[in-house]
Amino acid sequence: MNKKLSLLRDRKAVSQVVSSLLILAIVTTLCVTVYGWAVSTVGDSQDNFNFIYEHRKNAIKERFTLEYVFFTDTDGNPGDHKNVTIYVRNVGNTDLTISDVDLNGTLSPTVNPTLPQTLPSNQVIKLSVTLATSWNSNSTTHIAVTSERGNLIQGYWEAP
Amino acid sequence: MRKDLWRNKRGLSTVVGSVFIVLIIMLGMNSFMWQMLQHNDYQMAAAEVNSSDQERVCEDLAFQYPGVTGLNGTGPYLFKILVNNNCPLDIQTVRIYIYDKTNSTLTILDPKTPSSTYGFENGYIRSAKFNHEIQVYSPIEPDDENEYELRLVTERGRLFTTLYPMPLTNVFANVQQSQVVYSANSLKVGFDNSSDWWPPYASAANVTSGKLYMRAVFGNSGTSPIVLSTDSVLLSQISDATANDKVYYIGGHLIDPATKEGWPGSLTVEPGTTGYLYFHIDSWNIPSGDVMVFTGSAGLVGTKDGEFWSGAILMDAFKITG
Repeated sequence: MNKKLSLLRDRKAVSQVVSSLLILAIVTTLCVTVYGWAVSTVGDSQDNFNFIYEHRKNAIKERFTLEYVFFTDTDGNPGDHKNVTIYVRNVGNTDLTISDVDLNGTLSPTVNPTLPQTLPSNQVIKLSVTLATSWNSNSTTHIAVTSERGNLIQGYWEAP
Repeated sequence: MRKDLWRNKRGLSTVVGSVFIVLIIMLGMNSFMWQMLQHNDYQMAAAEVNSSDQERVCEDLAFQYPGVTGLNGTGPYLFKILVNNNCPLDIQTVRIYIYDKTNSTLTILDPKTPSSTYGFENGYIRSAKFNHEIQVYSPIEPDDENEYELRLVTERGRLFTTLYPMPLTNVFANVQQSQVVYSANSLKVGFDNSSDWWPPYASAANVTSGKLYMRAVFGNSGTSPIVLSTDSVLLSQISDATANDKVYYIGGHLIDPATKEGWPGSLTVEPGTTGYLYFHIDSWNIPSGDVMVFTGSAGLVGTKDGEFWSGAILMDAFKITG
């Protein structure tokens, strides 16, 4: 009993014990923090990497073709020459989403059905573009169709 | 003993540090391996797409003249589109567009189902298949009065377009040298009596007054008639085996078989039929005892569908003894 009391009363080397505990606590905290940061960073990196690769992988798989372009009139307005009907076919193995149609470098605002449109594999879609001004006979139009993943098909078509 | 070991703290920091480093390395390796897997996955996808791109580029359909044939029916109008598959892969046709350029109307035909009135059948074209017939059931009747653009869409996304009626320039592109073919072993010689044509072994007796008449049988294997003109010529090379292998080049022109004079006008060789072409070589003399081997080719000119046409035919060897 007396020995225990004397041990508690003995103050020699207390500072060393306290400092050791302090250092241990700091090192442990730092280790946990660094490990947590590393795991989090690696996880984020993997997520980003996964996103980029998945996007690129799906993008390179996309294949679609401008099957036919038909210059015609808008419904109910024969002779107005303000409609261009575009047939696009998805010939790739993945579904794609058509986001834009450009005519002569200008984004077409009036497309029926409204874009974006999802086009399943091996399917064809008819896009009816209404023009602000009439197309002219024998004039050449540059037509570009863009997918949501950034792929583009384009070509020149001559009006009848 | 075990207590001593447990109390012994020497080297503990090394163990802890090593475990920590191993953990970090494992984390890095895991991340690296995962990235490699992703990269491989991407490369495999790219290779797969490249393969399908190569197949797409490989597709090669050639329309046969006249492009549309066998018109029949009163609606649905039946006709055939003749194509050659020049590709080593089978080709699946998934859609046909028929654009009437005269009336500016577009007809779209998909593979025919039992319930559909219009469409097309036999759209699967085997590799290296020639004269494949795609049966079309159309709401419009292609006729020679209007101009049509026919477009075939394949499953791999290739487009093949032809015109009907086909422009004459394209018709010429489709005319093959074999449209007029020489009937093998039909080369004969004759002289006074034009009906007395000799087999391809002749002697000096076949030459009258220095004139040699020759006849060859040709066939038209094409799909439209060919009208041959007097400008068609026979170019021949004769090897004189007994005169130090001398080689003579002679020319002959077409003649009227009845009069043995100039060509009467023109000769029409209908598709799938044969025509007799008579050539006349003037001033011909075979020295007695000579053996000559005749090898000839005919340069034929004429008209086809009202336009200039030309062809060349290589004929078989022909032996003449003097």
